Amino acid sequence: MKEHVGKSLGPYPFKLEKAELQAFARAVNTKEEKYLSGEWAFPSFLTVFRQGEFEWVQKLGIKISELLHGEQEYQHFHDLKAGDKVSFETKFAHLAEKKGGAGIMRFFVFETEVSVDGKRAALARSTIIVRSAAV
Amino acid sequence: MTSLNSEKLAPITQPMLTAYGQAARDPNPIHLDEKAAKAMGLPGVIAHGMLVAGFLTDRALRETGSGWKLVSSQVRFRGMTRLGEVLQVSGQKDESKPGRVKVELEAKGTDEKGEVKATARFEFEKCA
Repeated sequence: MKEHVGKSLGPYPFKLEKAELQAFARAVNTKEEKYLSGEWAFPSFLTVFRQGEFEWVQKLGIKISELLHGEQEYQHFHDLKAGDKVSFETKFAHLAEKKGGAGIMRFFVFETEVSVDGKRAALARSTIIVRSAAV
Repeated sequence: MTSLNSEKLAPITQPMLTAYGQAARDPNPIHLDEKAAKAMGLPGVIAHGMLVAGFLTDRALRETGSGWKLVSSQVRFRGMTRLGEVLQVSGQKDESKPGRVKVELEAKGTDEKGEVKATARFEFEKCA
């Protein structure tokens, strides 16, 4: 598994659709018209680009249901809006193990770069915890 | 540092999690299916950490307003939120640096345990 650290998957294309931005704004219960209108992406909409992370997880032979999300960081360079043609790429940045009473806990860090027309829009860094000793 | 008003969120329901899971394209069944959650040793269905992060992000945006641009967000998930739980959000705002605002928030359970579910930090810059 360690041999994959430092490698990236993608780039994957993703078109931002107004209806999808609206559904996300409603799901996080924001009252801001800017987001409810579907014109702009709510900042944490970046979570949809965890798809790259889920691709990694499957490639590493881990079941999605084994994941717990430990931490999420974003750097927002510019806002995403409806109609943007996004491209994202996910790097398996780091792997750490901790032994505990309940078995081995693995901490995976994935970094996703999100761009629009070749310009960097955001960086996401996600830490997930896998508790099973199955891997 | 200014303390922010503490605010209670609506109870977490399955329709909320289902809608969020679809909107966020999150395929993890521990947020949708009791059996899948229990199979993973969880007490039952738990809320998406990123749903709680979304509530905290919205609060941070409301604390600053349209003249400010969000430049970074960081959320740590510290506890699991179960169906029916009511979370309470509190925090503080730091405006000590000119042109910058930092909002720190915490979401806690409102039951007798009062467990911290998530802590977050948001940094804003004044729009040009």
